[in-house]
Amino acid sequence: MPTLNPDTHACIGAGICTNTAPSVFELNDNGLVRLRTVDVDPADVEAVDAAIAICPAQALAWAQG
Amino acid sequence: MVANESFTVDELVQTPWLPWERVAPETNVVRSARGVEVLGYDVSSALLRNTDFSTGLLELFDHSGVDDATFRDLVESSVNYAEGAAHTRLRAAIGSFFTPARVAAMRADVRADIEAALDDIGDAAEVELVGQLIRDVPAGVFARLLGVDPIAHGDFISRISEESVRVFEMDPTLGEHVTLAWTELTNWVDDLIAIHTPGTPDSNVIDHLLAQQAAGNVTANDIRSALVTLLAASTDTTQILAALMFWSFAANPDQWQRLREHPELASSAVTESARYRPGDAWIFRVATVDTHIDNVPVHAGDHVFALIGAAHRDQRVFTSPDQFDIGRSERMPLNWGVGRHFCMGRMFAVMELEELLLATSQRWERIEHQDPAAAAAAPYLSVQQQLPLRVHRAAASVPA
Repeated sequence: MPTLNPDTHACIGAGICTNTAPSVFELNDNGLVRLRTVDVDPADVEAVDAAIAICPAQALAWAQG
Repeated sequence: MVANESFTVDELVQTPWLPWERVAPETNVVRSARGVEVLGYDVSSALLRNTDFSTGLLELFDHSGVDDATFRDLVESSVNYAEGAAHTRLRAAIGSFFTPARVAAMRADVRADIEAALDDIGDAAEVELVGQLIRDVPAGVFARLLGVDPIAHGDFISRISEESVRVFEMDPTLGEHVTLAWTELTNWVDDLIAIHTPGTPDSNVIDHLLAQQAAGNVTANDIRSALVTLLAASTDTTQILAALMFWSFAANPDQWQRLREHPELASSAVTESARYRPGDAWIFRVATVDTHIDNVPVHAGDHVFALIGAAHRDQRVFTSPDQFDIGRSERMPLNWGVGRHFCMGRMFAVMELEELLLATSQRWERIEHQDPAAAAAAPYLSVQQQLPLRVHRAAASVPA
């Protein structure tokens, strides 16, 4: 199962990821990204790819390896 | 922290990065007559995310001499002012309309509108870019988002945004003007809601909000507040940012040539333009508790200003910050905020700016200020009303 890198310190709170892949990303009380899961269901991979690509802060990434 | 009065507000409006000419490069916070000025990029970013600071919208109305209780109630319940659970509810309900898919679906129409305006400009060598091209772009997008005719309502949308955001100037002499603008704005929204014919939830932002209401996520008052807020914020900032973007390119012809040769840089060019010459010198906040910023004590009620124009030239964060480099890929500019109150319309603004760059750089091999000396001496925000350029049409189109 593909895994996200949980290092999201660059997040600026655009919230685009939560609209793009809501089953994977949510916003915490500060309006910054929080991962609902690090292990991504294969059915969500395409949406997560889109979220990673469109994140204006480039704060999202797949885990290496 | 450095002593106050290092710069005046008027100086800041004219040159948003001016503080670095007066204070040490390691400075993060300065106290001034109006409050606390935050210069450093990292400290500004942290401030904008910090839940101890409100957006201060009520305070803006107070300072503008607007005491109409109707506006105060509307602002107090708006997504731009609410906090905690109320904000999360409103943000989710409204923000879920502004998706990447919606932006993508609108891009071709936006490009077509820009090309049509450029066709009207034709082979003219001298162009007033705001009136002849820029102004209609954000207004057209917003009209489509509302589901109204861009031709019939575009001018109003532009004008009401320009007049409504004057509340951010915090100028008591503008009290009557701001009151009239917000009265006209709220009346128009009320009329819009009254005559609206419901469509599918995906049709436009009004139908989206009505669907959210049917789902129990927002009230009728929330819908009214949301539409007023969206309209006030709709076009003015994007219009100014677009004009400042072309101002920067006109003053840096090497970067224009670079964009023509590498249209894939349009996205980073927009980001760099927003950094290099932001439309707003600061983002306003109000401390809600006694706290501190970078170890500097701040008291509840203090007015705090994230000086994004200065933050964008913080040499601790940006290499050669005074250089306009469309290939730059460092930190994100702060124009659209950070955190829970990040601008929901950013993707649309960025798309509009990208298409403006791609379409114009394809037609014009060179752009320059009609009078470079006058352009340099003009008030920084004169671009809100006009940007006179001389353009040189390309012999052959460069695919973009």
